Amino acid sequence: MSIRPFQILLVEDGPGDFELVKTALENSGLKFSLDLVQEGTDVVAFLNRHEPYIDAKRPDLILIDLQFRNGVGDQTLKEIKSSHSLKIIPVIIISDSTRVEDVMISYNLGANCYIIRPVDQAEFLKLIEITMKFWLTMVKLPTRAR
Amino acid sequence: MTTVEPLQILLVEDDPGDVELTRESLSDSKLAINISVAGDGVEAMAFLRKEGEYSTAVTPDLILLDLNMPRKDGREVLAEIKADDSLKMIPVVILTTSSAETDIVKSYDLGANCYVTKPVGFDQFAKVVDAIEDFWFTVVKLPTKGQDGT
Repeated sequence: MSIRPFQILLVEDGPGDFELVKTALENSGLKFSLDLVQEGTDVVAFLNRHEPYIDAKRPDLILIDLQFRNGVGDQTLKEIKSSHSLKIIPVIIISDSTRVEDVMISYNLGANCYIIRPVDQAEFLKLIEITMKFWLTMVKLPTRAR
Repeated sequence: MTTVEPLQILLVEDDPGDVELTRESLSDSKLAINISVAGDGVEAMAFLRKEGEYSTAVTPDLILLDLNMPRKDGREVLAEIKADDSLKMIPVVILTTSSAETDIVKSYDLGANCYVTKPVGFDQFAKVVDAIEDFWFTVVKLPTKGQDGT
């Protein structure tokens, strides 16, 4: 039985939810390690362990912060889900958009699930806690199947 | 505005005992849920494509898919769903007794949205079904349940 900490990767555009996701994971009582990379080319370099990320750990779960209102789209999701070696890693989209088209695009690109960020911080924290608990304790993750 | 339209689950499962357990687990839900059952992969695909006797079938909001079934198994169903542009956005939760690494990796590779194993015993089983229901129906934004926010 694997006891190594859960490896979580948060992809976001600018300062955002890192502290909140970290708090949610701490509250879960599970052992974890949380990495942060900026949206864009960095992510694929990180996942493929290219410079400057040659020591990067492969994540068990990826959270992508989508901020449609800032024009930040789904490039990272597209790249992960079209890569043979990366596509098995579950990707959770955290989005500020409730538009049906945005939701559809993410699922069509292979997002494992789509969550809308509530405006209220306490509500958001609770949502992330439930999400982490579900994915880390109920779901079988491909990277921890052994 | 509240929607009273029930949430639609397609349960693809060949074991009548597990169908019953899933129904019972979902019956005490606070949510209005309508469960349709397909007994194997052939039925599941006919249902999803609204063929033959399923011409009036409702597109599900969530699919619970067993892996090991006669005629057409869950892996084939999953591959067909995720290769079909009109079906691929529907979340598929694999619910199976298999905890084999090859099944888990293969399922994610084929595009499963998540993979959950069936525990033994009703209480444990109910807990798992409740967790799936809770997460997918109250936390997640489903592609088929759209209310435009704009």
